[in-house]
Amino acid sequence: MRGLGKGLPAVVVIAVFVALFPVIMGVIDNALYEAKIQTTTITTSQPSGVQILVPQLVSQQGADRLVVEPGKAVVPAGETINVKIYVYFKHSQPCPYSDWHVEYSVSGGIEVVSDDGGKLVDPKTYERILIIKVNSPGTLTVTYYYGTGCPEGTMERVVAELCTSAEQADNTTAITMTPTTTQASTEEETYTNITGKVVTVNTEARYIVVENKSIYVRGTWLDAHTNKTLTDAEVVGLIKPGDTIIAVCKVIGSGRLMAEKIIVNGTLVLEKSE
Amino acid sequence: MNMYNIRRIVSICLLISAILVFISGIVLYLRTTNVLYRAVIWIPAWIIDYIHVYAGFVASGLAIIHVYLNWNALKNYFKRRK
Repeated sequence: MRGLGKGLPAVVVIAVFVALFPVIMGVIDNALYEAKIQTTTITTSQPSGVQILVPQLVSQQGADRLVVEPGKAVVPAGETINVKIYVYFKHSQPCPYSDWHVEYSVSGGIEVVSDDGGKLVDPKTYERILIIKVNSPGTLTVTYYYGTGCPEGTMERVVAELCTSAEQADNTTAITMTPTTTQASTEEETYTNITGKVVTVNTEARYIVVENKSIYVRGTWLDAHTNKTLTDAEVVGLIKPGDTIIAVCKVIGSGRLMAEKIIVNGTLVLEKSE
Repeated sequence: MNMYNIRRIVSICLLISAILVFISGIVLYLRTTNVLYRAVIWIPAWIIDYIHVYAGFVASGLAIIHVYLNWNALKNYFKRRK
């Protein structure tokens, strides 16, 4: 034991450093990430004639940050504008609440002519690029929904304005919506049938993948044969990779498929009850 | 605090954190299985991830102290017995 006590403080310091390594790295990572967000500049190249009035709109009611660039712009009638949507996540993706998604809707005289579908450019940044044709003034409403059960928030929403003349732009104001604000929806309900073999089943996020299409299962369900009530997690638990299914899905937002009825291997019939 | 007490505390803490790493490792493994995952699906994955990672680093730190405190005994293990 003699002599052991002399080096003990140094060993304890090293041990504490090792034990706190993930905490230290987390602090450094967050500091670097915050610095990166703060210095993000607008890199969107715009067609000629486009005048940016509000470079970006930000919504951060919860932990994640939704950014739309530009927030307000004047675009010559009939011309297009590139709109970038970013979501800066607090936690690296994929996270346990992985069914988060971004939806958008347009109103007025604007139409989306191109959508790259969005992608994660790094584990904490989602980027989606839209090309929008502006025929007459209109708005683009972008909503980011947090994953189901995520404790960090429910949704972020931003409304960007696109005008065709400076006078129109002066009469309106770009706004950032709060999650409590309700937005009138102009979307129609459409349904589609998906048939094929189940490739992946995610019981945690409650979705199944059938031939590259993700089908989300939510709400309370009913087994048509036994009349037994099932939760969405139980429904997903009944489906296995390799099963052949026929799913009737509601198409919501920008194409998200929500299951309404699922027939598994031609025998098991599951229907959404609410 | 004498050396015996330090050794005792370090050893007990090391044992607890090692058990946490072991149990959370089993749960994480079971989550990758086809059928057995049902037994652990009720435990949120992020909690198990956190426990596994942080208990692992704590165990590593305590292991360093443990090796230091038992350095003489460890050296003897490597000596050839006559």
